[in-house]
Amino acid sequence: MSDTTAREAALPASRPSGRRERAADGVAARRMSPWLLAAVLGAGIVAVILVSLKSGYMPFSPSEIWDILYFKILSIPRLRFLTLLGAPDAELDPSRVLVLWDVRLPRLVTSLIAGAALGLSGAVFQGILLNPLADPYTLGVSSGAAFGASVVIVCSILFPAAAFLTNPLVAAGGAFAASAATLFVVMLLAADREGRLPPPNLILAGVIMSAILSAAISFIKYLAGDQVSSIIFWLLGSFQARTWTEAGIVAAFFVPALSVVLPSAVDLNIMTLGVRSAETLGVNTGRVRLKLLVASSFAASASVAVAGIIGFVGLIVPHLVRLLTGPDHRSLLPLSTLGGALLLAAADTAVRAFLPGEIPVGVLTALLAGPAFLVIFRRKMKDLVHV
Amino acid sequence: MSDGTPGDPGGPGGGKAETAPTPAAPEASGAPRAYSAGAAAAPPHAAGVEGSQQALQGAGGSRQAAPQVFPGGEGSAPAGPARRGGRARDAGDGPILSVEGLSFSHGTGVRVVSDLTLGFRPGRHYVLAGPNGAGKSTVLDLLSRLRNPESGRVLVFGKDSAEYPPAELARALARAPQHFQFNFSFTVREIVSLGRRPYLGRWGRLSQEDRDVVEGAIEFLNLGRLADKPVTALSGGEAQRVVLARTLAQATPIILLDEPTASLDVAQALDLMDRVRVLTRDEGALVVTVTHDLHLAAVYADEMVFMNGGRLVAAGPTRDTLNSELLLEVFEADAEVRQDAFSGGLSISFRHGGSGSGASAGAGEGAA
Repeated sequence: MSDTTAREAALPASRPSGRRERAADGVAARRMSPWLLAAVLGAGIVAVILVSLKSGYMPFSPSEIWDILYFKILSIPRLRFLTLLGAPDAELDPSRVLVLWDVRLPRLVTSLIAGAALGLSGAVFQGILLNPLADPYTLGVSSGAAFGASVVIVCSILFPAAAFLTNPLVAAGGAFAASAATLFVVMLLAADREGRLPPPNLILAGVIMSAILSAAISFIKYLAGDQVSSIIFWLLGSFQARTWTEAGIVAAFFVPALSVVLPSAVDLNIMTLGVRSAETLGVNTGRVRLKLLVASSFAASASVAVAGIIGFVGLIVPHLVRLLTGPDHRSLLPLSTLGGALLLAAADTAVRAFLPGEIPVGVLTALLAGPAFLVIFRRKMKDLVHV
Repeated sequence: MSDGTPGDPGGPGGGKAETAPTPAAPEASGAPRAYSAGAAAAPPHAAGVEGSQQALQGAGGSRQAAPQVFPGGEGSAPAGPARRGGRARDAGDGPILSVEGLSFSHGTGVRVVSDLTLGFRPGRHYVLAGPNGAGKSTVLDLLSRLRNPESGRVLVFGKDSAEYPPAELARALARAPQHFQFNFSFTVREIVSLGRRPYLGRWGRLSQEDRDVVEGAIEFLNLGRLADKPVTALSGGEAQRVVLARTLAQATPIILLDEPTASLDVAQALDLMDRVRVLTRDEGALVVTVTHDLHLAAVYADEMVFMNGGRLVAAGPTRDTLNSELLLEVFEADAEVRQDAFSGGLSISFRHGGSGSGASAGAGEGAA
């Protein structure tokens, strides 16, 4: 009996095992409401849109912006019925309409959508590859795009007779085609015997392809001789002189990607448990992974094709969002989308309207996000110390 | 899916067949089994397992009557995760999970499971034991359909598991993996909630009932205090309990545990086994555990299945199967198995290095 009592004392229902269990006590997950963050990001995007349209070489007043937008919207035949709300101001200066509607607005829209695509695909890549250091370029999408664009640009230099090559859309097309091809090759390299795509294989195959393509790009730069600057500028990333066509191209890939990715948020949560756990929970991981990789890579490819390589947006935005509202992909994916749009549009507005020169936006995002990432990284390391 | 393609007999296998033993050969080489001859009472067939069921009933009954050495077991452990819709108790006493002529080879042509036939009944805790490479984990993979058998079938409630839609199978059968990692700072509660996935719609909204099951699983594994903590900050033992809670939140009548006590200390391992006992005895769940811990198995397993070299060596109630001849045959370990009043089960002592001094490590002693 005394034996039993002693054992009973030794085996309480809760059986706390002391030191190790207490390790976690100090680190309760403190999180912000996803809805609050969504509201903040939404307000930020509205503010950036207003500031961006207003500011620049040719300033606009808010009422003028409104007049011009109203006028242009009414000139879309289907929306004529809105005239009932009042006739547009007829006194608009066509050159100012042109600047706002055909220069500033498409550039802004392109940067918003490209940023959204990068934020979304960054979150997807980090989730699928189970690696918070992954970004939309991990699978070589950026190297592929850079290679494709470089080939087009160097051809336009070497064969000046082929004038069509100087059209920026041709460079974008080359970039997209090459990055899609790179994605295909990376998946082919990474597939195991059963046709699965294990994350470590994907990362390695991406690194290998990137290395090969970087070497090829160096060679192309050498071929370009003293006109190498046009390639370098493309690679740095910029939204200068982007038109509605470019906005349409990114949107055409981003919207389908969004509609594929968002409904898979729960599956992504499950897949962070690892393939085996996910499979026993009824998730077809092979199919989900392929679907998400293709959708988000295409969205990232499209954004690289029209804007060049803009680093760190896809890496840091999902990171920050996860830090604020937690890793649940149901909130992480939409919030990273909003965050990417806000960050890239704000950065592009800054380089266009507020910073001297017009430095490439990719340089600014790298300069801003790099140190920010360093801070997050240090904080995480400190957290890990007392595990 | 893609069985039968590259690595199979047609290709390189054909060449190997000359040198490698044919499927029939292992019987000649590996199993002149003095044991299997003597094991007429428990031959390596489902029939044997089922046939000796009466014996188990008797043994179980007498064990119940024996003095309760683990008061924490039925007594103080909280009830299992709140009453799951899924768990079927009405399955009678027939096997709810069985395998027929199950075989599996790796791509290299090495046969890891050979012609396995077994039945698992509800309300019992089966322990699958054998040396490393015996094929235990592969059997769990086949049972949970992480791998597709080369031949033979896995029947879940009498229906071939290949015919189940994935979500439906996930409502019948759950598996706690041996290896897991948490890559993102989900909270304990969020991870456990993921176990409800097979019951949820696309957006994963939890109903009140789902929440109750999740809370029940959290309580059942004593994770209440940690529920809002990020899983990335947990110790190995805590993380393992989170994985188990997630598995229980799946609320399935069949639960497969792969080395569930591998990163638990003695007290935690006993605690876990007590809780498994609640699941099997009070809730009628079927639990199949793969473990290397024979001491725990000796005390807690209702039935044991011994495998070696991909073949079934013996299966049946623990008392009938776990003995020193079998341990010598399967593990090549010199051991003594005896009834142990202290633990209320069997206890195993191993002799090491021929020194003659047995290292007694009855499961009960660890926490004393």
